[in-house]
Amino acid sequence: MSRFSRRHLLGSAGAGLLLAPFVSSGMRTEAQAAGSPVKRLILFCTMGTHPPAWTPTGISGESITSWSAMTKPLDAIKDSVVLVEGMPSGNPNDGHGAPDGITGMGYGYYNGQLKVSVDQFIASQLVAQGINRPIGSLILGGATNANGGITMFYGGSSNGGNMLSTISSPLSAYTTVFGGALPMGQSADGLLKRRKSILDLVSAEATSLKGTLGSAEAAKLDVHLDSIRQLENKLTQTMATGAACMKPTAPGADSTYTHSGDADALAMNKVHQSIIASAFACDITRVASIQYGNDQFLKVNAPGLPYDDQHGGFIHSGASSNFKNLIAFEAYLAEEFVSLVNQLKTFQDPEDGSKTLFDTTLVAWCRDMGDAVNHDQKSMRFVLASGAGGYLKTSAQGRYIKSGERHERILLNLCEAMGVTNYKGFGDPALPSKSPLPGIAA
Amino acid sequence: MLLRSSSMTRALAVVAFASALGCSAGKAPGVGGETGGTGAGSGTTGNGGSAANVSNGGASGKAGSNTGKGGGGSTAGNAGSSGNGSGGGGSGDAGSSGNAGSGSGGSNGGNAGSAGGSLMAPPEALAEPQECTSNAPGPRKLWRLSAEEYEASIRAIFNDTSGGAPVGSVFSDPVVLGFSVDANALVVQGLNASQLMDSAEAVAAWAAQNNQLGQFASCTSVDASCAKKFVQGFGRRAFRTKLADDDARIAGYSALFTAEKDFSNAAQAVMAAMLQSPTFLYRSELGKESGGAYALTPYEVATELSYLLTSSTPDETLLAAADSVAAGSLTLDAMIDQQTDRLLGSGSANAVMGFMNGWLGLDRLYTTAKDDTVFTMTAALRDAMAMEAQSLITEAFNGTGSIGTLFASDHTFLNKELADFYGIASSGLGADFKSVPLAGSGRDGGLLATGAILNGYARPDTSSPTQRGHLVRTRILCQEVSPPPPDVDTTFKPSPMTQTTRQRFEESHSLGGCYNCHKLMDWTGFGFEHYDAFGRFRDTENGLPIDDSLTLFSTPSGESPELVGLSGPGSLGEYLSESDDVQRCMLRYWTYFAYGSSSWAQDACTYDAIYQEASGNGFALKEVLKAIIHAPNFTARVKDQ
Repeated sequence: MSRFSRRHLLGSAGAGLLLAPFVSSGMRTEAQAAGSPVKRLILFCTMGTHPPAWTPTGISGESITSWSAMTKPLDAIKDSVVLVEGMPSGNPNDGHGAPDGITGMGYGYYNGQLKVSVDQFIASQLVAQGINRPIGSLILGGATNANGGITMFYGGSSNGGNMLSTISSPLSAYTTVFGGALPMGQSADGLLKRRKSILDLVSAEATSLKGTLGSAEAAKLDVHLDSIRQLENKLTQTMATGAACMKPTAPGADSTYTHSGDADALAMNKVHQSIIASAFACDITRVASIQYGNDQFLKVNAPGLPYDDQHGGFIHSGASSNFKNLIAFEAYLAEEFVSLVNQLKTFQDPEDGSKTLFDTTLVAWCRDMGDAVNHDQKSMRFVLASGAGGYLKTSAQGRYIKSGERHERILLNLCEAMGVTNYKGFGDPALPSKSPLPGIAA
Repeated sequence: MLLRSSSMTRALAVVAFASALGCSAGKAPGVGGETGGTGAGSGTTGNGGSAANVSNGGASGKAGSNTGKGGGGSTAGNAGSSGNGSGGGGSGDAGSSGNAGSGSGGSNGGNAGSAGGSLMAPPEALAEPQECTSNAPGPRKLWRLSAEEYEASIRAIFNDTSGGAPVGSVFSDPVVLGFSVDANALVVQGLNASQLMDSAEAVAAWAAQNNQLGQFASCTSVDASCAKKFVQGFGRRAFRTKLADDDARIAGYSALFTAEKDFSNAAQAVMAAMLQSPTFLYRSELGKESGGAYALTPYEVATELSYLLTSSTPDETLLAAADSVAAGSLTLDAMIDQQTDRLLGSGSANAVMGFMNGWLGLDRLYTTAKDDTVFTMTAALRDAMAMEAQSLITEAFNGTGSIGTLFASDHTFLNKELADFYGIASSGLGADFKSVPLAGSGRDGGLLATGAILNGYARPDTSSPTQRGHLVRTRILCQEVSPPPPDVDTTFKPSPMTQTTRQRFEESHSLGGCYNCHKLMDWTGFGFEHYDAFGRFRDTENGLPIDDSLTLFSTPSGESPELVGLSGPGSLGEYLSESDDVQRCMLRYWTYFAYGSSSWAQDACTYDAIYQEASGNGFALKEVLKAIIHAPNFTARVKDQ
């Protein structure tokens, strides 16, 4: 693929695909917090790993001189990545399904504060700063509810601190981001008018119904109404339509995937990653996440690997083979991480044609546990990546940081990178040093 | 602190050893995190197990799967079923009845569109029943359609039996306590509204293009008269109720209709709107207030009945019956009994398999990883095992069988492929399944000895006494087993010695604090040791003889602190078939599945009513389901808080 694709997003509208509810505005600019080179954030979320097989095998100072087999694919983007490990969570005894991963809060609730994951916190803060894109936060991931597992995302006050699901279906994700088909005989303006009328009607219905309920049931409709407001926002916000804006090919229905189920998660996530890159290129959202499996299950269906569950098979049955399959699968994930970065490099930044999307994006590989084999969070680990002139202080050989500070501070780095520096409402209010980890930023 | 019901308490005994009995950190390496799969536990151990599939379509629409959370949790918050689970390191996550969503919120720095209410957190475990003091039913509620119900309902509205309607994949439902039914977990949030809009528009466009509109109204104009007819016609199916001429909702939808330029677009506007309406998306169980109590409307009851028995929206016959009740020409009780018999009479497996799949995790057959280097489980073999279990269950359900009948069955259902796999004479068998007696076959009888259970509760290459015992403890006896404490190495470690699986587990789990919890699981699961990871019968393992004697420690009723003398799943099944604890446990899970709520004030009233009726009918499975339907909670509610 060429460095910059010139295919216009709207160029394909004539094929019957609808983006018309978004008002064309050409190359757009929107304020981001002063001094922040990063405008976009992607969370790449997976299970914990087996630390002895993850840590780079050669480290000199902060430079990586030799990669582990798990992380070897990152060598392809070594001048853009920072590997971080050693950081304990606030609740080191947390284990399976630990929400601590990107909330910094663990299982307990601190002073009545609701769990909010860093992506949701940042998205809400961007809105507060006046950065209001059609979609506030996009959470994608195939089959992330398989076997009753949970994701890493929590909604904070917007949903009572409960878990958020991913959009599993690539087709649904595509339609949500880029719009559906224009009905025959219907104009874009006519459809927008109809949609607004419908949303007015169903909102009024929900509001009226809510008035008849006690607080617990009414809360369900509050969450529903919030979802409608997000849709209304999507329908009324402008999107970029410049040269960078290019959408991927529409994916097939879920039934077209090989297994029509859990075993398609990896195939679905490849599509999801393309959707995220294109959503960024069109400036439809500033915050996106992709989840691989859930806290305890991911049916792996990848070349060279047995058809098995990452957690039960590779992690907890891996000792007998020195975690051969887990190492191979972690390498697969690292390749997907690199692929995502490389996709971002193929797009222009929608506001600055001299930069790539990757130059203005921070990509963070986050995990729910540090040591998945032993279910602990004593040493959380991240892979961070940003482009030229981006947020991170990098080194030519790949940078490695080991820190004993609380891992929440890396999450605060993500906030800082996105121009969010008021951390009130996020994470552990008792965190001793409520600030980003020094030395991460350039 | 929840109060205990006099009659239901025993079924929910919590085996709470965690506070003092954890395996010593680093001293007692386990043989593997074994029980990641049976959703009752608040963190019922945690690794290794893979649990049941979320859906397999058809009869199992509601069944999700199950897996405990917080396997590495510490002592705090795990011991009690109603513990709050807060505090450093606890894995209770607000406990089984915690009010996780009751925090004040508002301190998150202005989350976009923050809601004012407090969404309740779904339970992590079944709470103990709350004492019945005034024979009260449960509170009113809204209950969002599950992903499967959403799709099935839209297809039913259009009688789309070929699956042509482009119903969007909107919801990715969380699995709670083994099921995707929890009314507090099923919400419309985030980008769901956007997805719903896309799905509704696509379906409406499909309907217009495929001559579907005539079934809702015979007119084709865009005037007010036709608007009302179409709104009433489509609304009856979408809203599962009669829209009377004076229904206030008609005006709003008619306005959408008449704003369009032609009938096709007018109809699409109405259909798209109604399919996004909360009236369609939520099952209403709000009722009409009278003297402080709330009686569910005939249409609400019809809706309950339909989703419980068919996993889909009421058909026209059921709606017509509700019309009759509303008009006073039929009693509500008569409608319930007549329509229950009609819907159950069709022989559909939906009414029972959705529950059974979730309760026993039967879909784990499809999701538990298997080591192909040991044996390759083909799709056909898995399907055959699923059919074996389903055939046993539906035979009991459609007859007069109880759960005891299932656990102590003296026959099973096989086709030739499965009979050959089991090593049972297959003469006379072909592709179809037939009842085959097990006497003299060498295999045990009963549901617990079916391939679905034996494969689903096993490791990829070996059996798993822990997983199989955990199934019995947590799902069949409703006893929680605390997860392993932190710092325990749960990695599965192959033994360098020539041992049986039993010997390896005994050796590893007899040490330190491990024994106190693992004796509840492994020493029960040892009874399954004649069956390997794939459900194949074996007399020896690694050249050593199999010992399938088992010990049941600490049964819920406590009359047998150390029940010995049992061996094999057949023997265990016979014991369980006589157990009142099992009946109560199943009843509790089935009630949760039917009502979507795991706990409410005075819920013991409901459990007791169901138990009394079911016991009077020998706990026949169909009678248990009818008892759930006959419980006061099915037709009446109290004010929600």
